[in-house]
Amino acid sequence: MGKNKNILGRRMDKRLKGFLLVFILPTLLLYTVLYVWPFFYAFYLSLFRWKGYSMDGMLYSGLHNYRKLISDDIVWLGLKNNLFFLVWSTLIIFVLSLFFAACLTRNKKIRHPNIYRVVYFFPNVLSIIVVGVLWMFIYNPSFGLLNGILRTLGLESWIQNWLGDKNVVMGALVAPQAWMFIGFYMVLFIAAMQNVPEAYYESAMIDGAGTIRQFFSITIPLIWGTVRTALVFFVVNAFSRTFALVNVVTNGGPNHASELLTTYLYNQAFVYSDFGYGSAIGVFLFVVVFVISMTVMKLTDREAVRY
Amino acid sequence: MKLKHTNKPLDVLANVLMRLIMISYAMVVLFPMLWTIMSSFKTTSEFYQNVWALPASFKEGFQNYINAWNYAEIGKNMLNSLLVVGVSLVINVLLCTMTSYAISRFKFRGAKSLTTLFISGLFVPLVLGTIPTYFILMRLKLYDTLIGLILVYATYSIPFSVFVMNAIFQTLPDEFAEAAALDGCGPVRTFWSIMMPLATSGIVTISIFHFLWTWNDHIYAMTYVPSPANRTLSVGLVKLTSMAQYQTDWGALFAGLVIVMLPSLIVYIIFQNQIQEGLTSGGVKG
Repeated sequence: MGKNKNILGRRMDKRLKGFLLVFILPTLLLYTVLYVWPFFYAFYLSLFRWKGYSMDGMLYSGLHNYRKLISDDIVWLGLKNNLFFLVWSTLIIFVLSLFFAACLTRNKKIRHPNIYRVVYFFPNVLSIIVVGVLWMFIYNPSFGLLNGILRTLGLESWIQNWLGDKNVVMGALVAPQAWMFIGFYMVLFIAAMQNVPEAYYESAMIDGAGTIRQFFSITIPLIWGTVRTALVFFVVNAFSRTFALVNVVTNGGPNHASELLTTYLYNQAFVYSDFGYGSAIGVFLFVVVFVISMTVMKLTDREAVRY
Repeated sequence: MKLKHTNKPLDVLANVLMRLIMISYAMVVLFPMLWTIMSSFKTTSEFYQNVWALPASFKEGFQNYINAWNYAEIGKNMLNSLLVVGVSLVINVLLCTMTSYAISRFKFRGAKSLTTLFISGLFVPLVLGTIPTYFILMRLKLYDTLIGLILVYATYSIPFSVFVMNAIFQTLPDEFAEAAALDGCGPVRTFWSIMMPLATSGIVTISIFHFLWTWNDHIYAMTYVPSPANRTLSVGLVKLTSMAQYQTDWGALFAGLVIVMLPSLIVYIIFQNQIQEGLTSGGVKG
């Protein structure tokens, strides 16, 4: 790296500068205008009240939106629901994907591990709408797949209006998320596990450590770096992802039971045109995501084992 | 060896259990898909009769596809999708490959901070930007235009694309570039005729990922280009969903699902190795 400059020599410096400008500037411009700037602009917009759809109706109102936010029950309900999804989907997705990855890398008796990889990853390439509509029909009370299965198994008492009942809807929405992302993280973990040298397992076997023991004392510590990065990435993106899904499936209903900070933000802005309040919820959301990812980083910060 | 022997029955049991779990989960993944395809050939009355039954006639069921195509204007929406996804893909891939090359292989002041700036975008929740971006697009007179959506899509993939391409360019050996420089190639020539071809695997990876997420996005398309003439396929499907609920034409909706699913499915089947490798080489390597 960087050797090019030495070879090209001083006379080329000007040409090199021009080249760097042409190669970097367009990307930087787009990125600044549509990625970095909106991020800071959101803070500014959150200080205004709105009348109408355009920017003409903006009225400076200081911290009014933030005061409103603190006393808004739906904001706290949304936060609670966001955290519910975060905890449960993280738990289910990471436990199952680590388990499947370990099965496929360590258990040599499973035939055609590649077929499992291809199949498990598959829901990840589907559009969230397709996944959403698909699960709406799995949960459909009159002809849905799930109630159909329960009926066939004779478990009539378990039949529910999965998306219409405020006590079940949140749990019902975790399943499609897990279904979509288990394969993704499994593929990630398989790659990491394949890098663990076989010799460790061999010596553990000689020492008499069983499969489960090996998993916790060899596999997990050695792939910890990957797990940690994946976790932070998952947490940051969880909020956008759950939004797209809930937006299609329930849009926060029934009666706010599955309302998220993100669905609330979106509807405040683009349905009720209260862009200032929407932005304030966005800033609040950003702070929450920031705190959570920092906490995850801190909690998972163990000495990485080198091999 | 003694130990291993005593473990055997347990091992066998664990093996069987593992395999059972793996197979059941494969069914959990595949079954809803097969059910969707099957249901797309059913008439509405068949829907209410029996969840498990096969469609009465695939020939009649095909009417669902024609209905979906007509109601949701799928043909027009698909053209919009192809245009937006295709153009934004070319812009994103070209710009990010150029920029990654410049910031990862040349030492100049700011190269490091630029890299950090681009990649840190991966760790910011995008939802925060929706409202401001709406106003910025209005200011630029790009609101509700396909060009606006193209630029948004091209921009939103920048952090991931730069991340992947940086990793690729850093692993390429210096010798080629040096030889080219000695032969009198300028940096641009070196990039086009030597470095780009060497980075093909990365370019394929970022193209696939850009395709998949833009093809599947409905939130940004719905928000930034609301008028019916600008609908993409995903947004069309959202409309079809609400329409099907009023008219209870479930067959058409399922046919719509299959139509939207198909391109992603084909891309996945063709490129599945590339997708899975790209995911890991783009390296969440810790």
